[in-house]
Amino acid sequence: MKKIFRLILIIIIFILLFIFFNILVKPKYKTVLIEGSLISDYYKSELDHEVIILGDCEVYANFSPMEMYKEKGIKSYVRGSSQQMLWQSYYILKETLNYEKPKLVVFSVGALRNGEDKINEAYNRLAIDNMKWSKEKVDIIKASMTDEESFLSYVLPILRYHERISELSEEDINYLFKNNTVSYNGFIINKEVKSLENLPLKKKLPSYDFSKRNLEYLDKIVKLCKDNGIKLLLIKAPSVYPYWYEEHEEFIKAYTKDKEIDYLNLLNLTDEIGIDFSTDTYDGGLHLNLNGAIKNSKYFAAYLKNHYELTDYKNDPIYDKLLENYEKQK
Amino acid sequence: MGLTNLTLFLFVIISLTFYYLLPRKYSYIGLLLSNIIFLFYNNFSIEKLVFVLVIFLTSFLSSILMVHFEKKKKIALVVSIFIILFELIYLKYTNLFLTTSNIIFKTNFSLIKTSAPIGLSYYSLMMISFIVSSYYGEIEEKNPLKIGTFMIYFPTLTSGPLIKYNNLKEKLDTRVKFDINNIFNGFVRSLWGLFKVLVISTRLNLFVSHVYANLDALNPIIILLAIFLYTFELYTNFSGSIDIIMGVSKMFGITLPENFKNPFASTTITEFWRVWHITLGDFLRDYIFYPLLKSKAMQNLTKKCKSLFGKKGKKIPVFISMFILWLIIGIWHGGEYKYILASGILQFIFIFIEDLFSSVNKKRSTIARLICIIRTFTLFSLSMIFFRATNIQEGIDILKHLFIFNGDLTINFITIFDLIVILISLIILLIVDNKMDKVKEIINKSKELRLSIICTLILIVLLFGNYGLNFVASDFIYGKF
Repeated sequence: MKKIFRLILIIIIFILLFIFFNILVKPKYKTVLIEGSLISDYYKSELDHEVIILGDCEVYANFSPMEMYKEKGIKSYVRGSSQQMLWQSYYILKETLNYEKPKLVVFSVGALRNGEDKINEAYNRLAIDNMKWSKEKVDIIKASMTDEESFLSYVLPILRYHERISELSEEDINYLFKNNTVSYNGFIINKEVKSLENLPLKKKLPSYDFSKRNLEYLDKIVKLCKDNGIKLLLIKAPSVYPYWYEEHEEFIKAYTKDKEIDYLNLLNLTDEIGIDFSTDTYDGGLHLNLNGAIKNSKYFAAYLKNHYELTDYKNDPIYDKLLENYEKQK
Repeated sequence: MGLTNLTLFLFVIISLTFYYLLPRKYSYIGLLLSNIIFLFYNNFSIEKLVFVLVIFLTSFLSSILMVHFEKKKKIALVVSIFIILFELIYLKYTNLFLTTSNIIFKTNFSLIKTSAPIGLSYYSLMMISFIVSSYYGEIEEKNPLKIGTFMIYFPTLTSGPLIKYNNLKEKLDTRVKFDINNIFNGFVRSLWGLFKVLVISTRLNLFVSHVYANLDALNPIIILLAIFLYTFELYTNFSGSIDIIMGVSKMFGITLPENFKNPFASTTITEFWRVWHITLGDFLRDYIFYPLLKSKAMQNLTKKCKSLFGKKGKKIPVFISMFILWLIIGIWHGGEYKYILASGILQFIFIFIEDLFSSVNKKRSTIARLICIIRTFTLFSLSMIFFRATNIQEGIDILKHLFIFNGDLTINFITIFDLIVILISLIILLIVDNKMDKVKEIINKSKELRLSIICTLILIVLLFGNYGLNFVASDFIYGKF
């Protein structure tokens, strides 16, 4: 009997050590590459959002839910991630519907420009690593994996990140069991200023078509919203670069007309919004900084209030607390 | 399906399940199926299948003929060995002959593209030993499925060891009863092999590869260090793969002969080659060296030399036979001159010189023994320069760099972390190698200790192994043969 207990104890110790090392070597994304925490921050939020915003960096840099709440009492969340591919947006939305049912989904069409050549393991990891395990996570991994990746490496982080054992940092130790949020309802504050100066020449592209796979998943997003009785709004965020071509614009207009869904091009409204690209961007026009995001969010909040039946949640105690924390960081 | 691939792990689990579920008298059929699947999974083709079938059918038919036609035994023996050697030479050494002809006879032959099936260098020799054993009546196997199972026994296809039919016969006739100890002991052995390959060998490769690619900028002491570390890289890569193979085979209840026995404790090159790649040495000794020595031509030569030079003259035919043996060992390692030099001619020269001074080496103090061990290690490492180099000229170039006093002693191309892991791992390796029998005894005594070792090795390999994305697990050096 004693022998069996000893054997069981050894197995338990092994399992605990195994779990410990899996947690230790996995990147924490709390001080460096904080974009990796965006998806997981969602699970700690109050799951009663009326608006969900999906897309790549053009959403988590440009849209501040706290400003939208402050302005019009809108409860929203930005479920964006770096270079979020269309299939990732689809599965993230599907996963979101396991937790709540928003009235409106906003999708940034800039991501449609990300073709198969943009598929990248590092960005996959930022979007997927911290997703909670669900059928949607299994699907998103299968849809996103490059040929060199293995599904098992997503299940057991040690298989992918074991080399980090030689480069562990303070962050790995400090955030071993700590899991604070880095964003404000999915928005990342960036106060730096780098004005728009010289952009690369706007070249003619060999093709302006969006990839078949991207359009397939866009159709799936449209259907998912329709099947769940959720309104869908496609937007072009006010990011000047990479270029949004006229051909792309025409396609989206025709697409949304055909599918009877709304479309708003904020890039064409930067004057109205009041964006000044000499002070409101942190990387020369690719993304808005805090100043720019505030202006954009206020405008967008007003637009949403005028066009959709959204509740005014002003004076919500939980959101007021969130707003208080947000204002301190501004 | 490499030996460090996770797919192999799943493949072994599935194979083991079928193997132990089948009735004991027919388990070998499950094993044969696993062997065939393994073969096909490793870049197989119809062309390669034909080559495998040629050796299989030649061996099977000749063994049947030898049983039924006693008088024609010798013809069957000679013809079947000829066919097997012809295929081996054609697939592995045609380009060596063409290159030699181009150099010596100034011909202009283009090199041909041949594609040898995995394991050819191993199972061709194994089937020769099978045929010879059938010839001498040591085995009489009529079941083609059992012969096939032996020939392409999947654990041995990538890196050996060279096994004889009798190593497997009993287990092919009747599978051992399921014994959980076989599974655990096999697993420990495989994990130990993974530790050697993924933690030590691949890490050493980082160091060695950088030095070999940047000789001009480096200090000769660092170059010499790389030369020595390459020997450890070669050893841990090869013996590690053997450990994985032995471990997998043990799980099937099949104990294979050892291929290494603490080679770095050897005091002479002669002793070294008795404990390094043991099964190759045994095979070539039994089927090349002794038959050569016992041949009429050598017997006559012995008589002549004895009459001319007295007692010492007896050694001349021995050395001639030895030279031929080492030439063949060199050729077996690869169809390139660098292998013939590194693992053939140079080894012969060392052994020849050792034999000349053999009386000097008889009694040694501890310090003298240590000096001999260092000498043996150094000689072997220097010969492996050519094994590692692209060709002989590059090997000579590396040797020249040992006398060009360039660069400082800074090692900034590998992290301190990796250096520490290498150092600690090598110390553990040498201790375990030296006390292997004791280690096995302890593991067999205590289930708790065995389980603890399994858990520790799993964690060490997972954390410190070089594998996965952005890392290509180095090819098993001996898997090329």
